[in-house]
Amino acid sequence: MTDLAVTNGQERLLLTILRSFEALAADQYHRTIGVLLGDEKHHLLEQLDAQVPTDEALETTDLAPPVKHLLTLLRSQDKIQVLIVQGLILELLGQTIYKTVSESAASSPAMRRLCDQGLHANAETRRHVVEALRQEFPQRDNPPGADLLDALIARSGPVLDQLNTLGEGLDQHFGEAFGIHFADLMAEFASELLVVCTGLGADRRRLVGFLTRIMMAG
Amino acid sequence: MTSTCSGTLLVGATGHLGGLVASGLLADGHGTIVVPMRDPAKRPEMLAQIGEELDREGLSGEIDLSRLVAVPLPSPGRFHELDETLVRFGVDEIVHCAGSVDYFDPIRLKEANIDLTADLLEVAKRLRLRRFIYLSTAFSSGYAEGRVLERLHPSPKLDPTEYTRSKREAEFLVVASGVPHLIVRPSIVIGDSRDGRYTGKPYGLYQFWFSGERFLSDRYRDVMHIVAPSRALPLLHQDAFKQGFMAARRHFTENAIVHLCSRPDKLPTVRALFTLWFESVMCPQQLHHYDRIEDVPLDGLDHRLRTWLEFTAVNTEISCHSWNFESTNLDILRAAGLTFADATLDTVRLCQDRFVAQSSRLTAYLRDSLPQPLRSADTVVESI
Repeated sequence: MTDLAVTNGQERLLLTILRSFEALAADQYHRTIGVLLGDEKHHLLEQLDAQVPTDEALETTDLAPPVKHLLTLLRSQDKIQVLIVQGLILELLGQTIYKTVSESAASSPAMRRLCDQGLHANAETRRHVVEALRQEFPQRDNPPGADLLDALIARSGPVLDQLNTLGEGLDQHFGEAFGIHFADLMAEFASELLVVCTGLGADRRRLVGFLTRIMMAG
Repeated sequence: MTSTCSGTLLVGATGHLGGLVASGLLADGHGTIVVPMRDPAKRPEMLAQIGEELDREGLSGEIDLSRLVAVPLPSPGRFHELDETLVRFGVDEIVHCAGSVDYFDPIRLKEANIDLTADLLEVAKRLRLRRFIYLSTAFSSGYAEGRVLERLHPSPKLDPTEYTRSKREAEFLVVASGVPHLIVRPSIVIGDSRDGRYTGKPYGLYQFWFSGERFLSDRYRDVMHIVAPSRALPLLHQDAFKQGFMAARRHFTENAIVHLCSRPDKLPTVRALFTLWFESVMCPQQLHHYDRIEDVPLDGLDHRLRTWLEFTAVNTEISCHSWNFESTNLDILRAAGLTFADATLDTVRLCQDRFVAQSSRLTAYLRDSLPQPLRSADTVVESI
């Protein structure tokens, strides 16, 4: 339990969205790749549940339909799908969101504390994600990293396209409140993904082409 | 105007260049234009885009948009399903403007650029159509040495991307089919030469601007690094593309390959274009120029600037090559009266100004992020 309550409406809305995605991720990690569900993630989920136990803050907003659609799109028990979409893509996006809100002067102390916990959980999971990706996509193929990139493009493309439909709504709700702008999120996300994937042997040129297409659609 | 009631099968009308061609076809004849669409219910959106283009040309009141008939796009290998429709509307020509530029996705490139072309050529052969017009790219030669000729290209040692290879392969299919053909190869398409209006996605020069907006407008940077060779960038205004395409369609009745590119002596260099962007928009105190991305001290840069350089690296690499396109057929069209607006630094400035004006992020950057002395005064950038 947190000792400070988040009372601001915009903060509660953001936390509700984050809880939805974190809860789904935790469930999928539990079912497919247990190592990704560490203590920090459990702790984060407990805190999120304590702050926003229901979807009430989300239900009345225009973000509810696209968020729910995205959550539906994410449901999968396929190990590789979970590893790439939840473990790699959404954890990277989560990291960007937690970091931005944590550093925002507009955030309340309780919100900052939660986002710091989000960053801890995120870092813990990502360490295991990179290792799991190395095991699933060893650099034995020719060209190196091609399998990983093929999987990334095929599996994350539809999710990222759907994510783009959230962009305008996110800007409207959180742009002024926290300085979160979808374009900035995607730019940070793209930078981080480049580092991670090229570190795993993915071809930078192809990856940039893919990210360019995704970002142009947003 | 040519007066003909023959119909045309136009594939790719929902795209940027296909939309421009659609407006040209509507203005240039009286026949039905059959447009296969993945979702024919989106015909109104397509018409809105084409209507805007016709408005721009002052033609909207004169054109009967009902001539544009949307039909479902058949699945691969099932284009015979279109036969009855094409016969009914007297279609005697295919204009194929569809394609994929997703160079990261070889499967998609094959489906969109090669398999679809093969399917459409089968239609043309089966129905003994008069002509097949294929929209290719000036870069289908790959990194060829010397002058890029208006003929099929042998395989080069290297292609800029898988996209250029797939377009070259499609050109071979067109010629090998035996169907009378016209292959049009535009260079890098940018906005309208008259007002900078651009209706396409952010490819080419727009990718440079777009990624600059996304990655570099978060805060002011007083030192920036760019890869910008002093070579002419082969740009083509979208109005020149449309005029050139339609003129080639009217003029060349025999098999032909036509390059659509601005005159090289008018074109700005990559360095001039990038400097224009940085001087007018980003306004750093120092601008470091490099010829190749390998020369940039990437490790010392902040991650956004570094990512921006990486996002633009493919295009800057392509721009480092010396592109020298044969212009014999365009010269013939010019001599026959074609008005063709060449891209210059001034006309590109129009496009850039429009892009910046339409960007809330860049407008906010110019208003809020620049150091105070730079907001009102002309920027003096020290080029290094």
